[in-house]
Amino acid sequence: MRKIFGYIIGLATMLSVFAMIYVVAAIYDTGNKSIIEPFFFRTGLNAFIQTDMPRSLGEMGERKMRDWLIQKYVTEYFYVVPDAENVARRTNGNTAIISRMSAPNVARQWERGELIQIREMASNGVMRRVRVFNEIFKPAGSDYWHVDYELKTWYKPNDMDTAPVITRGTMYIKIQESGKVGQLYSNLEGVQKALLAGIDPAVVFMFRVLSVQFDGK
Amino acid sequence: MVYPDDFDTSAFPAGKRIAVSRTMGVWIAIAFMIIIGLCIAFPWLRAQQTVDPFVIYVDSERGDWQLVGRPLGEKSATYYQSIQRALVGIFTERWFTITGDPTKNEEMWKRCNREMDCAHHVPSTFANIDGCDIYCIAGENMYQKFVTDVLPQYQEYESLGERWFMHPNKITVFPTGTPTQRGGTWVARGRVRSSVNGDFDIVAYVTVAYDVARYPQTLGYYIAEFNAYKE
Repeated sequence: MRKIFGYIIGLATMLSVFAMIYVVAAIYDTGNKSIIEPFFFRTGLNAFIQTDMPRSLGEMGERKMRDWLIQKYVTEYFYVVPDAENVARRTNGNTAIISRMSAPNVARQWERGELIQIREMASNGVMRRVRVFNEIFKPAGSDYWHVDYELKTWYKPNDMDTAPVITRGTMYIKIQESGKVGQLYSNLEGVQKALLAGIDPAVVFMFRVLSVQFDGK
Repeated sequence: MVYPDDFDTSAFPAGKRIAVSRTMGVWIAIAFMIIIGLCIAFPWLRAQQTVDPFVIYVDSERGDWQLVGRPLGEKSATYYQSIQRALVGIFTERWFTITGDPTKNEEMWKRCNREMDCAHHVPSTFANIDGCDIYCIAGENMYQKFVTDVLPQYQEYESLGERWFMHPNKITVFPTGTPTQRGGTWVARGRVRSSVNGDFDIVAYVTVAYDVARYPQTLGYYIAEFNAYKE
């Protein structure tokens, strides 16, 4: 009887030691709790060769992220390079950025309008760059973000004497505001896998354009 | 002696019990030492995390998003990528060269006999203008475009005493997609030094195609399309 009693006491002591390990570990872990932001952004022109520290998504904030995604969208909407492969990539699968960032009707609108023009320009050796200028804003009571853009178009290749033609316009973009703009679409592992597979980094963040209207283009 | 079994003697009946309890005591002490070790190591090991950040480069001016510092796809350049890249670099440099010597320019821009003159024309170096430089690595249509659209302009610059020079080390060449064995599209960037207009930056979209029968000197690769713009 005494032996059994001793055995139970010993077992209880062992179990309580294990419990203590768990409690101590939890306390220790809480004390060192840190959240690791897995995505960093380097921004600005020539960010590849700049020596500034990358900033995380948390530091950038939702507003900055939304502005960047809108800029990305507007650029994708208009830019032209004289490369047939590029046009093909922009309409197929994972690299079709406009389709991935827009509601189906907006993607169709782009394919039936701007894309036809882009295809024709690319085959004629035209290059077009896009720049978003001024602040991106949404007036009170409106659902649309105002985005001022500038298109710089080189109509003739291999001509170093002719300056590019610059035109400006305003695009009105309605985006889905219910989800958090700029959050990741899927879990981290899936995103990392997709990024390593070569997906454009912009499409892993929540952003969906519901409607696009123009003025002045 | 085997401990504690050999202590089971009739002379000292309590020997085995004492020996057993001592053995247990030693093992319990060892177990506690291990537990104490775990107490120290366990939370520390749990706190270890591998930081595996992804740096995304956002060019807010151009709306260009790229993953930085991660090799995508094949890590090493294949032979055909290296050849195409070199060809694009050399062609870009030649395209934007106007020397002060009209004879040299003439040599560089002239049409040649593809079988006779180009077979041994290996554009392996930036150093010398060997003659037929543009023609030998350009497609027929491309060369025709050069003759009709670009050459008259260049001859005018030449007559006005303008010279162009492009430093080979300053030319950067990147693929726009994934170049294959049959060719691909590349972007070349660089700075042209003009003796009249100062420096200006250029960007060129260059399509490389493959025809081993006509371009054996470059393992079949030639420039099928060249669209350059002054930035």
